[in-house]
Formats: sequence, C-alpha cells, structure tokens
Amino acid sequence: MITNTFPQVITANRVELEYKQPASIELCNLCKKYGTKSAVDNINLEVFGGEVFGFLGPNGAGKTTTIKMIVGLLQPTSGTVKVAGYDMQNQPLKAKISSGYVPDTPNLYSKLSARELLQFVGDLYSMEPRQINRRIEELLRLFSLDDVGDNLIDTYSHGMQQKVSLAAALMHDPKVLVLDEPTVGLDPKSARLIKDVLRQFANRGSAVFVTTHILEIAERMCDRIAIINEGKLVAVGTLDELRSVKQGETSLEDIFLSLTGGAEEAEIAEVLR
Amino acid sequence: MTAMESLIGTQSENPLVYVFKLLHLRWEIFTSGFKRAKPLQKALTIALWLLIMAVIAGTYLLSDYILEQLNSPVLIQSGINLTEFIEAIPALMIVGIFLLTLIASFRLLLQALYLARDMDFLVSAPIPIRSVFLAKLLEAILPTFILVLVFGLPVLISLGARAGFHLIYYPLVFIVIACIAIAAAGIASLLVMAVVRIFPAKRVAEILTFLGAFFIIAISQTFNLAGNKLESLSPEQVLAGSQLFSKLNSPWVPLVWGGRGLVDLGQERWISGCLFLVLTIALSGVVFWVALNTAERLYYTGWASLRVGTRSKKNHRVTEGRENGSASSIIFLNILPAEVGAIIRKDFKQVRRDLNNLSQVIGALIMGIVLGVMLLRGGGEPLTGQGDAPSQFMLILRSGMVYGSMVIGLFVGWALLSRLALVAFSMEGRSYWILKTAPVGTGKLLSAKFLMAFLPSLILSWFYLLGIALLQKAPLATILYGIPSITLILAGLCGINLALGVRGANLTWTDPRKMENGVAGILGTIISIVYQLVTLVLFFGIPLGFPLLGISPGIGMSAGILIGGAVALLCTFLPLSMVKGRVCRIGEE
Repeated sequence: MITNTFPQVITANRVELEYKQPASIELCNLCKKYGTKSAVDNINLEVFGGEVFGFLGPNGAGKTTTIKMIVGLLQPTSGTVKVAGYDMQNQPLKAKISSGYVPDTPNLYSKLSARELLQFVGDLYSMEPRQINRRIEELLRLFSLDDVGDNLIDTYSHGMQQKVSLAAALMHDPKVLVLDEPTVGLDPKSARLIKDVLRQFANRGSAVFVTTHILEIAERMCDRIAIINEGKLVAVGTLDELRSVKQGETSLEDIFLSLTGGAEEAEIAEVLR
Repeated sequence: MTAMESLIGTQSENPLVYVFKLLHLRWEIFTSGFKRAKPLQKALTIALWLLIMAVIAGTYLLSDYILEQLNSPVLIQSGINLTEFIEAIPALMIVGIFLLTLIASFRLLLQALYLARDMDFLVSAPIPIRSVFLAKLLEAILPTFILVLVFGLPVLISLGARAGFHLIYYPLVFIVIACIAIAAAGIASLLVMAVVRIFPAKRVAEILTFLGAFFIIAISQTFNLAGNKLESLSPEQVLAGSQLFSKLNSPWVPLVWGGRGLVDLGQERWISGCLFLVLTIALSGVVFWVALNTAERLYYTGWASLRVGTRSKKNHRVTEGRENGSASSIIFLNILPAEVGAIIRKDFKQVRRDLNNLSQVIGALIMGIVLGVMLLRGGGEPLTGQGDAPSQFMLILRSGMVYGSMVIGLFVGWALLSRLALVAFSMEGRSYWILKTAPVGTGKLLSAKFLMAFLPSLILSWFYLLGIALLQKAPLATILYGIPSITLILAGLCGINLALGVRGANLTWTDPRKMENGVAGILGTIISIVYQLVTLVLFFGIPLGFPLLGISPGIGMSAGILIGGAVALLCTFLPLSMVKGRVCRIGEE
C-alpha cells in the first residue's frame, strides 16, 4: 500500500502539488472547448507512479474528455499533457508507448480472436515475438480467457470484452494505465479481479488513473481522488484530506454530492416525494 | 392519489392509437433530422424527392410507349396473342411486387425487430404488443411500398389508360398493391423470426448485404453479356416467350388473382373481377392477421427473440497461425516494420471475415471475371497477317491492342483498389482508438493502409495483365513495359483514393459501403477517371505515337515511363502528404 502522504492545497480550480518524484501523468492548464462550450477548463493535475488515482465527477463533467486527452485520442484546445515525462503533443509516440488505455466501451475488432488482438497490440508496440507469445498466454490465463482465446471477439460477452480490453492495455506492461469506468457491466467476480489487478499494478510502481461512478470502489481502491464538475477540478487529495476540507462530511458520497450536486439531490427527493 | 395511479385508467385500449403514436414518432425523427441537416443535405433530399417524381413520370411515359409498340404490325404478324399478353402484365406485376416486398421487408424487419434494439423498451412500455408489431410491420412496408408505387403504379396506370379500362380500375390498383404488400410483410416477419431462431441477427444481416451486393453485380453483368443476344432472338423464340408469360397467369395461382381481378374489373367483367378481388383482399387479410398473431406469440414467448449478436451455439474458433498470426506465411509482411505488418495482417482478416467488407472485394472480382470472359469470347485472339498495311503500322496496331487489353487489367485493379482505399480508415470504425492510442506514427499508419489497398489490387491487375499478354502473344518488351506502367498508375490511384478516404473518414458508419455514395466516393471516382485518362495517354499514348513520328518505340517507352512515372508518383505522394496531418485527428469531430 502507498504510505506516502500527498500534501496539497485544495482550491476551486487550482491544485498545487508538492511532490518529490516526477509525475507519471502531468496535466498543465488543460482546456478543451467545443465551440464556445468548455468541456475541460484549465485543469492542473499530477499523478505519480505507485498510486491508484480516482477521477470522479457527475455525468458530463469532463472525465472522459480529460482521459481522451491524456491518452492522445483528443487534441487539447490549450495546455499540455505529459505521460511518463513525455509531452503527448510533441512526443506522442514516446508518451503512448508508456501508457495503456481501457475505454468505457470495449470497442474491439470483432472479427479477430482475443489471441489475435493481443498479438496485434504486441506488434503495434514493437514487442519481441517471443515476448508477445509469453505475455498473451499469461494474460489470457490471468483473465480466465485461455479457453476462449481463439474465438472471435464478437462471440464474447461484455465482461469478457472488457477483460480483453484490459489485457490489451497491459500487454506491453505500461508505466501508466488509464481506465474509463473499467467495472461497468462486470459481474462481482470480474470486477474484483480487475480491482486486484489494478492494485497489484500500482504496487509495482506504475500509475493507475481510473474514472468510476461507483464511489465505494473509489473509496476502497484509490490512494488519491480528484473531483471534476462542469469541466473544473473542484478537489484533489486523499480521502482523509478531502474529509478535513469538507468538515462534517464523512463518506466520499457526501463529499462528492456536496461538491457537485447537493442541490440537485434535494430537488430529486422533492420530485419523488 | 399518486401520479402513477392517476395514469392508470387513462390508457387507451385501442391499439391503433399507439400505432399512430409510434409511426408519428418515426415521422418526427425524420422531420427533425431534415430540419437539423446541413443545407447541402437538405438540398440533396429535396433533389431526391424531385427525382422520384421524375422517375414516376418517366416510368409512365416509357411504359406507355412500350405498350404502344406492342400494337405494331410486326408483333401482330408474329402470331403473339397480344390480348392475353397484355392481360397477363398486371398479374405478373403483382407477383413481382409481392416478391419484392417480401425480400425488402425481410431486411427491414430484421433491422426493426432485432437490430434497432428498441424492442425491449417498447415491449416493456404500457403499449399493446400488437401495436408494436403493427407499427414495426408498417415501418417495414412503407419504404418498399413507396418503391413499388414509383415503379409499379405508373406501369399499371398507363396500361389501364392504353387498354381503356373502366375508371374503377385505378383506385383498385392502389388497394391491391397495398393488400399484397401487407401480406408479403406478414410472411416476411415470420421468416425473419424463423431465420433468427437459427442464425444470429447480425450474421443474417451481413449475409444479406453480401448476397445483395453479389446478386446486383452478377445480374447487371449478366444482362450486359446477354444484351447482344436479345437482338438476335428469332420470331419463334419471341413467340415461345410470350406464351410462357401468358401461361404464368393461371387462375390456379393465388398470387395472380389480384392482377386478374383488376383486369376483369377494368374490362367490366364484374362477377369474375369481384370474385378475384375479394379473394385477394380476404387472403391478404388472413395471411397478415395470422402472421401478426404468430409473430407476436413467437416473440413474446421468447421463441424468436433468443439471439441478437453474432454469438452462435458453436463458437467460431480461429486456429490459423497461432504462433505468428494467420498471414505470417506472407514473408513479405515480415520484412516490413512490425506495426505496418500487423495492421496489414489485421486488415486482411477483417476484410476476409466480415461479409460487409468482403462484398466490396467480391464486386471487383466479379467484374474482373466478366471482363475476362468477354475478352476470351471476343478479342482474345492476336492479330494475324498484315494485308496491305505497312509493317510499322501493324506493329503499332498490335501494341495498341495489347495496351488496350492491359487497360482492362488496370480497371479491374481500380475497382478493387477504390473500395479498399476509400474505406481504409472508415472500416476501423469505433475500434480506431486502438490504433490511435498505440505508438504508431502517421507515416507508418498511412503506409500500412496504402499497402493493404495497393497490394491486392496490384496482384489482381498483374494477373490480368499477364493472362492477356499470354493470350494475345504480346511482345516481351510490351509486357515488360506494361507491368511497371500499370504498377505506377495504380500507385497514384491508391494515393488519391486513400487521401480521400482520410478526408471522408467516418468511424460511426456501420456499413463502410455508404462511403462510396458520399462526397469522398463521388469525388474519388471523378478524380480517378481524369487521372487514369491522363496517365494512360502518357504511359501508352507516347510509345504508340512516337513511331508514327518516325522515332523508335524504345525512346517512346522511355519517355512514357519517365513522364507518366513522374505524374503517377506525384499523385501517389502529394495527396497523402496533404492529408497527413488529418490522420491523427480522425474521430475527433
């Protein structure tokens, strides 16, 4: 487990980190605008090796947009993203080789088998053929996919596809793992497996950046948590730090609701009454 | 009283109310889409409707003209019983409408019932299940019905006008077509359920797309081949054909009752006309009613709603090349950078295993086969002798013929290449994130996509080129000149089409073939034709023209390959360099 503390000051839109080791993910004044609408508004954030970092926010808050900019799927309007010290805009290949990504929906090549997909990913990351084969067997066994590894992906259930997606992200043993809602649609056993894998991955010194709507998972699994609302970062810290800032709120759910949607919550209760 | 309690009891019992609501929803989606469309799309939609009107008018005039020709003295003297023949037309048209509606409704109902994924929502909503099915059936019938009205109605109306039918004929045509259409859709709904019970819906849709593309191309090419045969039909053959046509209009075939009823009523044979018409309407109603009830029951009991995905009881296992990937036997791929080879291997598998993509390739191959057959039948033989022509002229003529045949090889390659290159990025679909988040540079990605489109087309072209050269006993020098020429022309075509494929890439398309009908596809065809004309003149025109000016053919070939090659290489690299920056932005709109 991570024992380090993460001293920082929580402000409405600015997080000032004082940390010794270089950050695995570094977002600096990150903005993304669609026309006049700001999906992500001036986010500054650092995620370090060895930690599981939870990125929370209500629907449409800008979580997926942020993640897409981190992994190079979207170009920021302004600001920079650095992964493993490499700028995603100026050194995209180096940044991408250091990261693995699991999207919220596992859109995979449906006409390939899991084994073929992993082979393909291994080749894309220029891995040695022998290393690719060894890794494929390890990952298929880890995710209990070895029996169906030669079946086409379009015959897999959602959970199996999610596991293949995670296996593909782990294929090249990245320094940074970015996951968008990795436990959605998974049965408890598969969800537990993924949580364990992420924990072990972080314990080995890699950074895990994960978004989730399930606050219980964030509470149990994440070393630090950031909360985003309407594109702006509203809080970052360990759970204890968040509690100390939001005095009186004891659970992450209370803290989350007070920062993002307390008024809405009261409104919903009124409608349902 | 809660809000929910207040709603109970206010629900209508009449299923037609909900049918209207569901159809109205479809209409709202259509109009909303039109309102939000870009001006160009709006203009195209309006133009399409105007075109449909023009087609209706054109079909009417054309059928009127054809019917007028049937009264020509030549046909009357040929012994054909024209009265029988004309009376058989409505009956056989109704049969055609039934079959067309059956086939088209099958595809539309497959989409509406299994692939639209709104059935669970609709069935769980407080709507009578009958209303859901009625709405779905009507949704499936309407597009086909419009198609039938565009092509079928003008023919039947013009026939009535030319034959001087009674006025009652005209509204009854509409009613009969509607009855036949709903009966066909009812049967189609049962067929869909039976098929989906055995095969996954997505797979059925893929197979239908594949078969559709295959048959359209095969039929069009067959008609092309058969075209000149029709002109040489003997009067006996025409007579036999017309008799067969009339024989199909037998009163024992229920499908022709509607047509017979229309003709009888048009000719004021009231009793037989009414009998056939009532039988048609009653039979259509019964078929529709039984089909609707059965379909509802089958769906609701779960008999016909078991599988939607392509998952099957027996999983498709991929066992090929487990160690190094299936295409590892292609040594050439192993000398490429690993990422480039991996993308090509992956694309090959996708094209081969996805029937939607495979139908693209099959079209080009069919065209190739047809052209090959035509060549074998017609112009395969080499020129022999020289008569009084100078030997120099005969040499040019022979070379010209060989070059002309090589152009066929180029066209076959182009047919395949344009399909592969245009959809190279769109076929990635929603899986493009895998490539985009991988450490693969734009250059390597473009190279992989280029080779994926270029290599199969090149092999196909070379195959044709060598076959033709052997058939025509072409001089070795001409073959050796033709191979690099065709290679360079195809490379330029690939550059142009791939660049347009990048510009027009849309990762949300479920059917990559739609791209061919889009702006990128149309532009690609126009630019490719212009490019080919220019390069063909440069590559083959110069070597053919130089000897006429007294310059040796060798110099002509050298000039052709230098000038043509420069243009081809420019077209290979320039368009790709223009869109290079866009590759890393695909999918961000």
